[in-house]
Amino acid sequence: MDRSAAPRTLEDAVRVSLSWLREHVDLDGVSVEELCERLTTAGVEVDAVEPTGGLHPDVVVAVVRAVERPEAGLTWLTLDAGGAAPLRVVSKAPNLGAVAPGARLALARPGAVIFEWRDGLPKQKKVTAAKLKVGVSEGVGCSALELGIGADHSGVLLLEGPGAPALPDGLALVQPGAPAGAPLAAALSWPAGALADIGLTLAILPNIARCQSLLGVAREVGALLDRRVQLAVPVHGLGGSVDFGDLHGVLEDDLGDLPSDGGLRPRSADPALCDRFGALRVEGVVVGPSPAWLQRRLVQSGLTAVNNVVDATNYTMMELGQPTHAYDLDQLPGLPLRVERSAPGARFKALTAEDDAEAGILAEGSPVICSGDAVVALAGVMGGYEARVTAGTTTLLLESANFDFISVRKSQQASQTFSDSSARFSRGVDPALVTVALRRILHLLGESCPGLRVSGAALLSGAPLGSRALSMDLAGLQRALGVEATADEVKAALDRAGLPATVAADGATLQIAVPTGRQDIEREADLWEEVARLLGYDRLPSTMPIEPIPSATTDRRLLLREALVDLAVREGLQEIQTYTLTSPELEAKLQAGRPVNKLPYAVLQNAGSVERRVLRRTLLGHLLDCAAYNQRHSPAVHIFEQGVVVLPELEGVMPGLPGERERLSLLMMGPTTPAGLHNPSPPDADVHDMAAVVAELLAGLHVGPTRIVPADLAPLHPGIGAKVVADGPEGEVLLGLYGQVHPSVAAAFDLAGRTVLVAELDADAIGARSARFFFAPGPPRFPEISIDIAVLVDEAVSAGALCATTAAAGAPLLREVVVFDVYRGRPVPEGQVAMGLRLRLGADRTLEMKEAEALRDAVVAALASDHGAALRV
Amino acid sequence: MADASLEIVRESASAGLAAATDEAALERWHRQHLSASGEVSLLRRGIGKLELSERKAYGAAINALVEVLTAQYDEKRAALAQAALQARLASERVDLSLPPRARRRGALHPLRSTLREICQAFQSMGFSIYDSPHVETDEFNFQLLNIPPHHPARDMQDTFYLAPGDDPSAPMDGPTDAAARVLRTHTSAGQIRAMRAMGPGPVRVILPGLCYRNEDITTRSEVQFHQIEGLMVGTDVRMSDLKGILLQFARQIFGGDQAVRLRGSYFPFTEPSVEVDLRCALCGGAGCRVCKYTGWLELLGAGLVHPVVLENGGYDPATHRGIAFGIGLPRLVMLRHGVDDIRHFFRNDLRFLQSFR
Repeated sequence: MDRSAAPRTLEDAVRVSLSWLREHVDLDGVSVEELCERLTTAGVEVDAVEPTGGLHPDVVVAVVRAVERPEAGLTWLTLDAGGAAPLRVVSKAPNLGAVAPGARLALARPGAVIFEWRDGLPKQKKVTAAKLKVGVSEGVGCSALELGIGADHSGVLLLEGPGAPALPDGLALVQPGAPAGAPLAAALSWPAGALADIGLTLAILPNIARCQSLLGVAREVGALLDRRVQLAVPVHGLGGSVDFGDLHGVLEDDLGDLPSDGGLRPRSADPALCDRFGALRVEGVVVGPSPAWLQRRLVQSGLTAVNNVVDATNYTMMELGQPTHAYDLDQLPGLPLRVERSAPGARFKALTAEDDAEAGILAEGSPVICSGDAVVALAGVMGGYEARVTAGTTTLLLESANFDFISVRKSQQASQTFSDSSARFSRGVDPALVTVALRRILHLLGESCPGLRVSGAALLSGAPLGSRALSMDLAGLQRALGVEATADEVKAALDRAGLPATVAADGATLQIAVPTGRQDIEREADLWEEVARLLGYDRLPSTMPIEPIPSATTDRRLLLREALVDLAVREGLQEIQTYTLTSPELEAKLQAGRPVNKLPYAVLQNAGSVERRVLRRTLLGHLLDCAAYNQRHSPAVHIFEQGVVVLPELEGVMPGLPGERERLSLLMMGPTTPAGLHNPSPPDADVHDMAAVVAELLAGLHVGPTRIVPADLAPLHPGIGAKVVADGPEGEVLLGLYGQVHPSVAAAFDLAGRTVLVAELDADAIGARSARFFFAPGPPRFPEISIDIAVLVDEAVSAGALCATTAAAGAPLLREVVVFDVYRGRPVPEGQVAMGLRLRLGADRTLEMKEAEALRDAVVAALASDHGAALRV
Repeated sequence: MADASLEIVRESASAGLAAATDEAALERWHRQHLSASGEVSLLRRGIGKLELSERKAYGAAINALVEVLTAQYDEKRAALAQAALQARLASERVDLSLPPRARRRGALHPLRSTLREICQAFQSMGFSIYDSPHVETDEFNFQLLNIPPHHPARDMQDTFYLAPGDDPSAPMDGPTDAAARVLRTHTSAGQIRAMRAMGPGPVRVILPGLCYRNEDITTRSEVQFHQIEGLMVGTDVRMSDLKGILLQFARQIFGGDQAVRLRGSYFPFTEPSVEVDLRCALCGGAGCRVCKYTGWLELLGAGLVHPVVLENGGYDPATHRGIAFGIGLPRLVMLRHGVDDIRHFFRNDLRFLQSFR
């Protein structure tokens, strides 16, 4: 549930123009901070608040330092724009004729985005240092029109100083004398009617799809702040207006008031993909610029004005949330349009493609719109190139449809094409908007095309639209949230949010008519969320549970793993944590010096990197890597890791899942203590240090009897390695291994020449043998007797074997046997070793000397018969 | 006459004692004057030659002389011993501003030490710890949590899928295949397992563990990170309990006067869903760089368990409710210790790790 470690790709963002929003919801007296806070706590997070429409942060106040006029009409300005060095900028603006040093003007520095006007249409353009015939110009002096804050284009916007005209369009300088380099946005007021505006960027979670429209946001803001809203917009037909806040009246709209044309009626090969599709033939279109107010709105919403047709569809999408598409009807190979899944090899060229681009091959089964044999649109995602609207277009086919959100999601992923349209369809669009959008476009287009005429209309319509009834138990709501709320209060909140509610006569339940646009509300819990959001989560008290605490169920294995970790820390080892993912090559290095065994791995299908493409089978690879990394700066490396390994040959917690085992692995290398003033040359750790740590871990968990068996195992030195085993009813159980790392393995890990000790233990197998109760004897009540025995044995006989024999022969009086001396060399014969054993004897009575002597004789005899040991005198 | 000779002896003996400056000279003096063959003993031999009437007084005078000399000797001896001790102590002075003896010290990894504190905070509120596998099926990681194939919530989690065998080029188990195996993208994957193991009884568990996401490794994101999932199911569980429990948790980890706020959010497996923010522990809510001047720190995601998830866990949503929350560990540790780069945690530079001793 936590997304803190992951970037947020879930939310799409929408940009909302504050000035546009104010036209639909009364925000008088509401500060931007208040608005953002309320939206954010209600789950409509405001990601950014920034000026929009032209006043880019790199549009700054610049102060003229020098002026040159090499030829008539051309002015070179040396400007202080806040940077270390002055900027040289050239301009042909006629109003610079009288400009003198000290004047202040509006400068777009490289990186700034301004508006370039062609054919009366604004296009956003990024300023760069331009190499011109006359020299390099390091910025652009801008007019109010280029900045998007006014209509004046008679010259560079002069703020103060000689020759400065009055600021156009009611612009006001709110920071006279603003320093060079100050953002112009801060120095100027926000004039009414300017492109410049405040834009709110809203993060849209999947359940807030209704806020992917300006009117949707307006309703939300009105509901959350309890402010008056006005959500009616003018349309063609239906009495001239539709109230977005109550679409009940349009559910049965079949475009019947428009000239019907059966030949236009779209077909859908897949009703699950699309069962609602309206098509209009519109004649008398004159492609040209949109009215200025409409262009301004688009720019304020982060879009670029294109032409009146495209702008009308975009505007409708931004306003209502319904994406539509306009085709040049004369370029469509055939009618009606058909919604289909694409055939193998079908080709498509998007309208955004370069003119000379080739059509690409679509993934088979992509949802498409077909006309004749051609694919003319990727359904809900992108229109096609061939039938796009151009300057010469006179007749349109307008498409407004509702597409299945999962199909559009898959399609945008598969084609890697993401558009404002697919962003909306992929989250679900209110099907009631299909006809409303067509009527809205007709209305908007009529403003710029007086001769506009609908000559044909048709609607494909599947299941009838209607609201769904849902009931909510008031007591259930209060129990779920832990909050007191009255039926009237809940009803009022839901009503504001466009969820009309009626309170039953007994006041205990509410009936809610969920409109078609609220696909996120399926059940009572969804209404609980709606109520909590609308009332505000700060209404919830902080309570401690009234539920009784269930019995504790923590698995003892988890506690024992932690105990092992603590023991390793107590032994002076530093815990490390490494990646569960690794590479087979890294782990193969552990087998260096031996014939390599190919091991089975759980392999990633979609690894992000070669070094992390399988799940590790051991912790030792990363421990050795860590030692190699740290040896550069740390002479001593004493580390351990407790973590999971994955063994696919074993069965996991359920069939199909690989086996997971918890390991504790240790590594020691270098001085046993840090060198220092008092201990200038401490000895390096050897295998006996690791043996001591392993013994302490086993003893610390009170693990029952274990045996240390010499073993020739990777990655260990063949002669300096052992496994730790326990004997149980199921036979011998491997608890782990330890020893000195094979020199070839050390070399493979860039540790050539180092003495490296490692251990890898099966944490849960050890935990399973940890005694819950262990006997703690007091000090002996009767004196104990210590006797030493020195024997000569063959080199091949291990100390452990001698001790085992001694322990068996010395029972029951023998309490402990330890090896206290090992000696080779003269006078001990070649091939033999002298070993000194110290025996501690005791009983719950005073022992007699002759008992000790008898025990020693028995031990000596057993050592002689089992191991050919000779008593050394 | 006799008194005069005693006085001469006393004077010479005292002078000799004063001249003794070490143990050996002192003992020589003792032998010379006070031993059985010493000077004073010789004087006693002269008693016999005296008149009877003088003997008693002379004997007493000798005794007094012995007493005086013995006292002087003892005093001198003590003084010498004291001087010798002082000299020894002076010679034994150690400069304690020298560095202490270097010792090897083990330490927990900072992720584990904070994780333990978090577990203890919840255990004190009656939560048990529940373990679930790292490799999960698509079904447990997504589908049973109300995240069907192609749900938009899958976009926020770049999921690692396991190859069917050990050959990564083998045909992909699609995300539509419930049995497809994934590295769990969140510890929420264990929710269903915990419910099925404990149902129909009440559940109060936390599920700590590593989660995996196929992302670029940067200062802010890692391919693996710990989460602590919390889950409580019962007949009387309330959303307000969530607020209370998490407030308690925040106060145990960050101190006494913490505040939390709930903020609407979206997770497919909770309804309602909230983000829980902590009043910025650094600036106390005034606004600072760490909280991006909002006064609040995003702490975790939470909510009431979605009815579909309850059902999948074997509970009847008509009678049971649940709360669930998911805490990201690295962010918390970074916040507490001022760690500015998440990559330090798995780079394991001992110079970094040993600063957490």
